[in-house]
Amino acid sequence: MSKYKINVTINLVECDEEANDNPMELEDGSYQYTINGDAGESIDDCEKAVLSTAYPAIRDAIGRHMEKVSKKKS
Amino acid sequence: MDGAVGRFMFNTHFAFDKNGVRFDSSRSIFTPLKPKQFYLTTGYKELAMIMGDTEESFRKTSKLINHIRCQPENITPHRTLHDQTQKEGAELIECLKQKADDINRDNFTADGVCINPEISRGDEPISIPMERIRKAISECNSCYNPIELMNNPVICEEPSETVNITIDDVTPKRQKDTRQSPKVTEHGRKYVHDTLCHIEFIDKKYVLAGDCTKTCLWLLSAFLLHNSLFGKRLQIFIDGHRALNAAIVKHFEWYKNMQIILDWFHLCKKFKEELSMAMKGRALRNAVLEEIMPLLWHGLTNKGSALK
Repeated sequence: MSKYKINVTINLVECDEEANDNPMELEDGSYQYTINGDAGESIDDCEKAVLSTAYPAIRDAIGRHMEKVSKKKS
Repeated sequence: MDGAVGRFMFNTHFAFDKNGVRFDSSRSIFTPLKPKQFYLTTGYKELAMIMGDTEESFRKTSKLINHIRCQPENITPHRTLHDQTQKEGAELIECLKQKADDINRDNFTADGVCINPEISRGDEPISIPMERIRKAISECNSCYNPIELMNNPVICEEPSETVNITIDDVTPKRQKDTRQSPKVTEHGRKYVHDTLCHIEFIDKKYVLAGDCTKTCLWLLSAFLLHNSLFGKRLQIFIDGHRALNAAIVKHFEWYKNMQIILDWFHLCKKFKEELSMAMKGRALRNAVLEEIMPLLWHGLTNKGSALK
């Protein structure tokens, strides 16, 4: 019986990119949300932004994983 | 699936040959679902049902869970949550009934009469030792005569040997799916009948719910047997409803150590109602109530009856 490893890393790093309205899915399956400078320095806005990025990422990760399980057993 | 992390879908797979589908992961690996049905995770049920719509309305719960799960789109609508909860509740009751049937089989008849000679019929009730009662009365600083207080015909049952059971019928109005007519007549109303049973033994509590008194008593028998509580004193509190009283007496007629008590809330209510009919004016009624209720609280029923 194989085991499964779960990794979660959330980084908040300074950047010069344009701010987004919503979290964006990247090609590697990760999610990224660029917020403006004011929001990045506000505890409330940071919390909201991290949660709204994390939840779609979790949903996507579970969905992808379950698809793999389904395919593996087929 | 509808989970604590949100509502989403993923693909399943199937393998087929000329004879048709040989393998379908949506049925073999995952729980088979009907079209448009979502698999509900345990986390979702805890969030949306146990901590959600059993406390608040479906509309409010739906709004809350979609907010918590950061799900602005593809939300779980409140109607869906309503249907999911109803289905879950029906399955839960069915499961409880099945479990009770399994426990009660070969032990009780359909009317609740015990047929297994190994089940205790209840011994003599065990009272708190007189010394402890006397000490408690002396500490109470009561204005009543201690001897009269100790002559209470109802025993002070030993709590570690007593199961306190409260049974009550709950009959809320059945809500309609839509509010079509603003006029609702008394005769047009439909009610949902439930019987709730709250069981308390030492520091443990449990609540059983049945769609009728008979089902609830059947579940209660299974619960008492499964938890080895037959043999203890069954102290049953009810609201004075005669049909309920008769059903309990009939169900436990084989059990010796059982007593039915009219609960304090309904005793007060009954007294207020009866005295209102018998006496002219609120002031007189309240004066009598003020005198009689402390007597009844202390179990001085003889003094209460002798009151003029």
